[in-house]
Amino acid sequence: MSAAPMDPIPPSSTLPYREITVAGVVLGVLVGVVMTVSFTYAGLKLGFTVPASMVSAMLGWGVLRGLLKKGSIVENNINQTVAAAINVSSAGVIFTVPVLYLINREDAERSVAFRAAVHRSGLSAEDLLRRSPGLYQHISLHFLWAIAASSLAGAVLGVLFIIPSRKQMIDIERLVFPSGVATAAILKASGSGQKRARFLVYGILTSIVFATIVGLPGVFPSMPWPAFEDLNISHLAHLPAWFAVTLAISGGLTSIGGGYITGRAGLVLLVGAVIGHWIITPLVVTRGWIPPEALADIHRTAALHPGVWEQQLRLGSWAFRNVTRPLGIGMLLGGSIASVILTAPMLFSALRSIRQQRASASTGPAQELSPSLMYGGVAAGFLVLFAAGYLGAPEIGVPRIFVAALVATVWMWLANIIVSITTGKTDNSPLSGMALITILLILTVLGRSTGSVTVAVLMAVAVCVATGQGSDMMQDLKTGHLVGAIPRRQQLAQLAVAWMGPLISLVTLVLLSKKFLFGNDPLTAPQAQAIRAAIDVIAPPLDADAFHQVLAHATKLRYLVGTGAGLVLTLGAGGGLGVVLGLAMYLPMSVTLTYSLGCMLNIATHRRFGRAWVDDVGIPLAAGFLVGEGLSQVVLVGVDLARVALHGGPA
Amino acid sequence: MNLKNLARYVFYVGMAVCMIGGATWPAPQWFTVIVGLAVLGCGIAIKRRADRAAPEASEDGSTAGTFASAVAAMPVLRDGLRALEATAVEQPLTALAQALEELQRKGIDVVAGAQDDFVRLHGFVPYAAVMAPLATGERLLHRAWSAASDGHRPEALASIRAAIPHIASAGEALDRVTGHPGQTTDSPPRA
Repeated sequence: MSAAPMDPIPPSSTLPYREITVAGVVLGVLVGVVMTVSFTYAGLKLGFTVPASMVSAMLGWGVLRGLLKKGSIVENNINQTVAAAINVSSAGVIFTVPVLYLINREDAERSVAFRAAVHRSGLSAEDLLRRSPGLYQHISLHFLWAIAASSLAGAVLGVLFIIPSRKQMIDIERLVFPSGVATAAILKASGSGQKRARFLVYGILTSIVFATIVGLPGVFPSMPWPAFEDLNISHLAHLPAWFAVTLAISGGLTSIGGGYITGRAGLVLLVGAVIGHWIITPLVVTRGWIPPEALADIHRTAALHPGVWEQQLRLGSWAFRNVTRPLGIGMLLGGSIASVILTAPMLFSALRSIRQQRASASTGPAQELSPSLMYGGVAAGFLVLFAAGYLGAPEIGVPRIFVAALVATVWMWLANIIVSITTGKTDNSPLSGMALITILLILTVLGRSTGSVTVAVLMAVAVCVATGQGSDMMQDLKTGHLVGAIPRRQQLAQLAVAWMGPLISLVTLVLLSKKFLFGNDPLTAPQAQAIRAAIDVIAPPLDADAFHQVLAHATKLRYLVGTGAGLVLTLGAGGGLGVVLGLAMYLPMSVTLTYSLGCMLNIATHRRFGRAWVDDVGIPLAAGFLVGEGLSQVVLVGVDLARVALHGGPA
Repeated sequence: MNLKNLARYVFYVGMAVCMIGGATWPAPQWFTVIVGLAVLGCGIAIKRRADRAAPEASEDGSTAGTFASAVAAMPVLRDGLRALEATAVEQPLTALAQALEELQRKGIDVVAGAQDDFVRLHGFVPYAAVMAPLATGERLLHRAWSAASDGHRPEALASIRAAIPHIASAGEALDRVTGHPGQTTDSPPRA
């Protein structure tokens, strides 16, 4: 093995080995809070967030060991666990809560008072909204309490639901969790040998330079080069726009790094993408499976942007959103149900072993949280979720809200497993897809009405936050496994601070709502807009026209077909195959293709240079790519926030 | 093409057919969906047959990734760990960290790398019975590595000692699977 240490190892110590310390927790909280505020803004603008793990692990070395001169690897691991536990909730909040703002704004726009205000002002409706977003994009205080309660319940339940799966996913199935591996590489850098540390730094620097060049035009539009999102090979090769061959540029090195760390196993994702993007979507467009009403709409909007390419793009986009993606979400669901069935004995065995470990004094300190704490926490979380539903829409009635909270809680457990499996196998988390299924489930149970949509979105907030927390807990536990942390300490650290993230993100969101109009530039909130649009598709309003009723029915049937295929495939083939193939049909081609490129690079370098080269050079470089892009995004968001604070107004 | 790969391709074809059936407007073509499910069923049958078949030799003739490699690696891990514990007090911490990495590479990674073959031959539950204690031991060895890298010898030694019973327990579970007590542990052969 390579490992000549990077620095001389400090002299042996007789003091207890540092793990949970005030310094580690405080540093984690500080980094987590700053990143939550930053990425609530950035996530609304860009549509994605960056996990705090790697950034805080880097800072941890500087502060704990550099400044305080006493940090240990497992102490720094607690620091990154705490930071990520706070920051991860921002994704759940910004993907779902703006949906409520969008619905409220639509209601306000339809009101007589708004029309009168437009008339009085002499402005267009959009200009009036932009001038006073706080007035028409308003959520009352008691309703904010409902959102806060819902997201808090999600944060706690998300951590508690995933704890029993640790043994199965990390110890036995040995899922990869690429970001967890990358974080562990940073934590262990000081002892992993100069060569690995050097290539980790090379990867970080390359990624910072690349991501900064790509991201700068988003902050300063006057930059002399344009903002690159994707490299559209279809366009360059004169292929139809609905035959997507695209590579991600923004976020590209992260995808390549994730794919490289996953290796050959990740290539299954490419198979699903080929079926989804190169078979299903083209068939829908070319075989006339787009309904005439949708075609007419596409032609109408295409008239504003004439050109064959633009029209093909819209046709492809309709097919992806309304056919390929629902089939993929269904497969994710079916594959996950099958995975749960297949691994149920392991889950119960894990719970039993946790109980036994607790009971046995001879095995030393307990490795996992006590089951009674877990059961009590789940019961409390359910009650808070029920209270959130009641606060949000008391007119629905206690029994129906109780049923909705129960359905959401059970689904949250399953969704947590789905997202943890996809994160473990591919590093991708389909959070907004899980939010969408939540809304579908709740509206199926409650039927469509104003109050039921509110309750459904509140439950979706909880599920989205919970799945984020659950997958982050698993990533952190994977990191912890690789550095030898005690799982119970990590679980306690995560639970102790998980409540902070949703509240910080929510307060930030409320402040931003006073200045910016969600859904409009610069805070376009793409996931929230997609969920808002999907609500009308999966549960059309009672006064919806016949076409939208048929579209809703067709979408539900696609979920059903996907679920059936995912169920049979995973029960028969095992290995979570349905989950990964479903995820590939859900993700944009640019992400999947770039990720697969990383997997292929792993295979190629393994064949050319051997396993040692992959371990000593390839993996550290790939981990550096993941870290550098995250660091760069943090800095760019900080600059953007400072620019907005100084000059105000949209970018 | 071996049966395992054939099963995989049949799965992909079945899934694609199912998805095509589900993509039509205004309702799925149920006949196509059912054909797709039937193809998936064929894939399951082929996979089961592949699972029953004898293990196929790797292209380079190595045993890497096979159940046999896991059985061979377990004593290497167990004996190596015992030897390391005996000398750990005097070893420089750098050498201790390197020795722990060797144990990971030659022992734990080899056993874990045999997951597919292990599950194919003996099922998931026996595999889990081996991996659960092995992974706990592995985590403790990682902790020993971290402590050694941090210069904390007492924690490194304590973690190595704590790992020994877990690794032994994994070895005993593997013995139960092979039906040959003593093959992977140093307990005396039974009469």
